[in-house]
Amino acid sequence: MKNASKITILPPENLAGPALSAVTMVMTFLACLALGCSLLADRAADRWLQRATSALSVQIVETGTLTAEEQLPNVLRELEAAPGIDAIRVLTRDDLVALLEPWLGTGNIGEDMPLPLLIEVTPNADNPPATNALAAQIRAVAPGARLDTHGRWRETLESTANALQLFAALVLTMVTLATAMVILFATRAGLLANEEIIHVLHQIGAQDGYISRRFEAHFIRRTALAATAGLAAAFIFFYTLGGLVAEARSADFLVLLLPMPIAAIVLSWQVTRRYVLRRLKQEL
Amino acid sequence: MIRLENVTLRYQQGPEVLRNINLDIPQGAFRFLTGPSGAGKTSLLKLIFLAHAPSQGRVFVMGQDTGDQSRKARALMRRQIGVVFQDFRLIDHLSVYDNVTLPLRIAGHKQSFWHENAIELLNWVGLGERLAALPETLSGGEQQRAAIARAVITRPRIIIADEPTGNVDPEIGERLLRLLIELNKMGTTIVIATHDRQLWEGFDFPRLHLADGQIDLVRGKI
Repeated sequence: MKNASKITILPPENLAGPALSAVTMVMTFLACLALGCSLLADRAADRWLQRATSALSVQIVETGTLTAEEQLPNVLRELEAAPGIDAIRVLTRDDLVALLEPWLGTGNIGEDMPLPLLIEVTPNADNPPATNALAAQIRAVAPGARLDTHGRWRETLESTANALQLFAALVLTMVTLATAMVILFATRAGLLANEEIIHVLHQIGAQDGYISRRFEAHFIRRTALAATAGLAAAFIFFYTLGGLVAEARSADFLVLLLPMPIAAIVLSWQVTRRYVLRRLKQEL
Repeated sequence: MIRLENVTLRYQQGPEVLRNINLDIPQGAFRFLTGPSGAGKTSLLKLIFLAHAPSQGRVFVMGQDTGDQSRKARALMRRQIGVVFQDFRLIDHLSVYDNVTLPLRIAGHKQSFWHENAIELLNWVGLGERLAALPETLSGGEQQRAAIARAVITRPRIIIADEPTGNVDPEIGERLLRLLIELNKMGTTIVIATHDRQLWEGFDFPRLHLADGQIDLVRGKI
């Protein structure tokens, strides 16, 4: 006998309860994983593209009449005068050797090997220069100079990034749909197991809202527990992944996973409410 | 107290279960409802305890046309109708005490107001020692008494019992009936559906006989 005036009208758990809660937990975990990975992939792709877009360089080679060094002052003058450029750095021979060694092998670049002059140009991120016009200006003052916007490399990177984003979005969509279906069926199975209670409460004079609220509270609590456990598991996963991708550990990123368990709870709540009220509408 | 006017009932597109029934059960009456299996006894009771609406005709309970009531009003009417189901319909995970007092909790009454009355009622039906027991641990007779206690705890104006002795031995059946007679003496209208000949033959109450969708009064007047 309970002395408290509040009793739990729905059983704390029936046989199907723990299994359904476990499935809800696992699916929420997977949905958080898909969401998190999708966000990380999105951000990584954006970062790559931003870096690739921002990288510019000018290469100067000797022409029939002018050496690279003779053309350098003209090129520097043009670059310094051009708008939208934050920094210019002429790479030393040592810098060039360091760049080439991975391809040609250490010690294989002799003193006598002719190397082009290379200028690293850092454009302004917000107001980058018009590359076509800049390339023409440089060419006009130094026939051996060529502005490299890394277009081909950027295109490849862009298509790879797009494919990665598309794949991540597809996985996220599929896992989210599967999660929604699992929560839908888990909630309905739980309701079916307790359907007799709806009839009894209705017959002894309980109003629709009273019955529905009891069921809603029960299933919200159950889904909230399972979804929170799934979210906690996802936090642990991303915290561990933070060893590889530092961003995965940031609070700014982790907070973005919260919509998944919240959506699971809202879905379970709405399924319960609609089911119970529809069942009751079938009764007089 | 209960009046049916030209009532016909069919489930969806099925055949007529009840056909043009007219019936008047006055306040404080005690009626047996008899008839062969499948005659529509349970269907008739469902109309009275507001579980179903008639396909045609009108059902009046406590002076109200049940078809004109809002859902909220019907819920409030149900609180004045105690129902004893053939299969008891106790909630498995609740104790005897919680099952029996559930209608009071639903009605929003505070436990301090009804606790002593509930204990008294449970003692009266012989379950005073089994307050914390779960339904599955009770015998058929005990479950039946718990179901009756739940039906009467709100002091309803009408008690409907569907085959109340169907799952208990004759001795307990008779005891249950005497309990309902006591409630009837206090002014409660009682309708009992039964196919148990011994039960109705042993008591001098009018009997409504249902067969082929039609109803007849076997003794007394409709």
